[in-house]
Amino acid sequence: MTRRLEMAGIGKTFFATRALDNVDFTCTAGEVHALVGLNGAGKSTLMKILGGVYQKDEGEIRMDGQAVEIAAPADAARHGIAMIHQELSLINELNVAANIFLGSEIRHAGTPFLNKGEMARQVRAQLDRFGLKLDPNKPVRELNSGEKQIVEIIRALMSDAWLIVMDEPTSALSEEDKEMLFEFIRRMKAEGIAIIYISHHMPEIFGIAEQVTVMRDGVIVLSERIPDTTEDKVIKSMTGAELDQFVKPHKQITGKVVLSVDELSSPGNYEGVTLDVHEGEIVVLTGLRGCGAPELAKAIFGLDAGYNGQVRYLDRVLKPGRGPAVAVREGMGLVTENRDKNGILPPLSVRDNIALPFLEKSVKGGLIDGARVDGIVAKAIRDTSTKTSSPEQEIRFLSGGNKQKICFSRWLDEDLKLLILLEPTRGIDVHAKADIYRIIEDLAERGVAILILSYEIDEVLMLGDRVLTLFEGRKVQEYAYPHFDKDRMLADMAGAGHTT
Amino acid sequence: MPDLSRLLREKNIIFVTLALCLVFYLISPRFLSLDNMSAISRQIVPIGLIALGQFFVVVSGNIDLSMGMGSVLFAIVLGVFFGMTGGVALGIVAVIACSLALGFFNGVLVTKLRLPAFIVTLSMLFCAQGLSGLIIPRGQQIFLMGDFFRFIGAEKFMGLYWSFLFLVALFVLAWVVYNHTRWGAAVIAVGNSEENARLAGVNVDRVKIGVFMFSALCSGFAGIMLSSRMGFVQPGLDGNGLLLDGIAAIIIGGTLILGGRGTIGGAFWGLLFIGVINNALNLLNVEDVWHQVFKGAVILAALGANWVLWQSRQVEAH
Repeated sequence: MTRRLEMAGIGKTFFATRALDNVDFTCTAGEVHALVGLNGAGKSTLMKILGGVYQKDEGEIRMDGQAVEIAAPADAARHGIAMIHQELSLINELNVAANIFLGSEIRHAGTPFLNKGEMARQVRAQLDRFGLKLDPNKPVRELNSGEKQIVEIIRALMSDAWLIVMDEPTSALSEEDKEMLFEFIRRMKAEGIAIIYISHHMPEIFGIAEQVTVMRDGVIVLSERIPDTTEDKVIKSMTGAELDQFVKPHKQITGKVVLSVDELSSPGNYEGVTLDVHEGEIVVLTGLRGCGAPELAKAIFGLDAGYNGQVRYLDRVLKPGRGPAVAVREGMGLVTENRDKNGILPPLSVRDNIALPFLEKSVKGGLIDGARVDGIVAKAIRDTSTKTSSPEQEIRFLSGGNKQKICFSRWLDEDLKLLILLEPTRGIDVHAKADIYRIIEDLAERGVAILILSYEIDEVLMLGDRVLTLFEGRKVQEYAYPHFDKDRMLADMAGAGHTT
Repeated sequence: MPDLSRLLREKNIIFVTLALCLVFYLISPRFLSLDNMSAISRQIVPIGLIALGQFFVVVSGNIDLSMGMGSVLFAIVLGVFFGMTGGVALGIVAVIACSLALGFFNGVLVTKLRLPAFIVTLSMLFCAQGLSGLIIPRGQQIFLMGDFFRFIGAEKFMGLYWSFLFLVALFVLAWVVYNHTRWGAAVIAVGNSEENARLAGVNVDRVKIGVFMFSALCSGFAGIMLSSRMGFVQPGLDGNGLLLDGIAAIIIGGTLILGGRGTIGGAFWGLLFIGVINNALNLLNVEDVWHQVFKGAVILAALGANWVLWQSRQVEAH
């Protein structure tokens, strides 16, 4: 009997937002069903409903024709559905077999002692079944990301999962590991496992999937068998047929070159990237996650010494890995993608967080000039329209958008010449987004050179004077305003035309 | 010989300890005498019990600072019962009951109220210290005499102290539990990632309460061993010195202070390392004030070398 999952007429509303509307989605054992769509299209909401994390408002989930209720993650597991997330949930210090059996270990009959031999044997049997070479006794910390993913999948299969949901599984994998994973997927298909494969990589989808479904704005816009469709068609339906009429105030870039990157390479991250940023210009790097852009940006800022090639800044060649302190002194600023981890100091006040990079410049007679700092802080809060009850408020109590504004306000100093922004509006609401776009435009107006990494195509189109698309660490194409072509860009990012 | 170089790097604490022994032997040949070896084996028993209890707590990603002063308090509990009844059976039962209760209390505060283990057990350290002084005023002591204390403190079996044999047996038991039971795997999992352990179906709270109960029980045993060896109990005993020696032993033995990694064998060698230093500095008549400084310097040198080697290995791995 071929097992089959059907999701019929699924609807979900969050507050006033219609996240999913009348979505039909089916998946059959022995097939890979690719699920694609831009950020916010509804893919992850749909998968969270399947996984029992969210509850559907309307519709029905049927398993082999029988209606089932999935009210909690445990229900999903009971029905044989397993989610493999990008953040893997393994224990590094335990070995492969111990991870797979964690929480349900096999013991020697009638004793409390683990039957390690039997556990290793069962794991080996599973690995053999799928033609995988992995030592069950190897500690997980010694595995690479591809192998870790395999362990996670094997764990799911051994608890009788028949439907595996994989969320951008190749984003952190090397070429070799990708090949291993694809082979594993082919074997799983042959063994009658169903796979929902979330990805933007066209070559992967067309190489491995039987069916592709495209979501946009909470509805399904395309669902076709792979042989009957084309990369072009899939990309077009992701972005929508009606091409956005995009208007940006035209700007003449006349300033001199602030940053010039020449043939920058770091094995496994990026390869031979060349770019210039002029005074007052906004250059946007874009691609899929794993395209190497964050690593590139960090190398420019001096956080990484392991690259070949040259970074010129204000006509000087920069020493690799010279560290953020030097970069800041030279008038460079960086706003990281992970505010809570690298951006803010959570226990400190708004004032202290803003003042941090200015302290060195605010010293008078060996002591910090408090009045000067207060002035800078007040101006920064005003300029960024940050909402805080007082400068003494602890920053961790602010909303994501306001935290991000503070990360920005640190750099609104007159000495700033180059600002690097990594995913500047990640996880931020619409209003804060508008404020942040305004801050960025103001800075550019003032003559600051700005280099942005963004994964959101609409943001890329709105902000960029020039856009560079990256695919797997290589520059694909450079677009200068107004010659932006959204479909071409998306195709570049997805590696259309490449073969895997 | 790749195997030897690998052994040198990964189990270097063994070689560092042996090298130290050689150095001390060259300074004072008496160091390697049978009598002295035997003395070391007895001196390390209380530290070893602290180290063993602390090992599970640290691997689970926590710390138990109350173990040292706890063992002083438990020794005093034993002394008080001995003074009242003239026997030890009731005293030992009381020590076991009190220590398990303290551990349970620590564990509940850490898991159910989500308080940091550092704060909970630091508070318990002060409480134990205060209670010790309350039970027996400072300057006073209770003498412990009789067959039981002589047996634990001074008698040997085939040339080895019973107390040392007890310690070794406990280490073997702990090794089996750590490496061959669900509980051992669960402790490692919790120390690596509580969230992931919980997702895999591990009862995280129960594991954490368990490690605190075990560490407190170990400090109860340490109190019994310490007081038996000395023949008296008093509130001024250096419980915190004991605690720090125990922590040093497991860290030197390769236990990651952040949790999630460590081996029982390593902890045992770390214990021998601390025991050798303590003993040799006494034997060589190092002045008391310098004793601690030397100990600090030797630990720093050994751990510093370890750290550098570990980092070079990290670089190789990339």
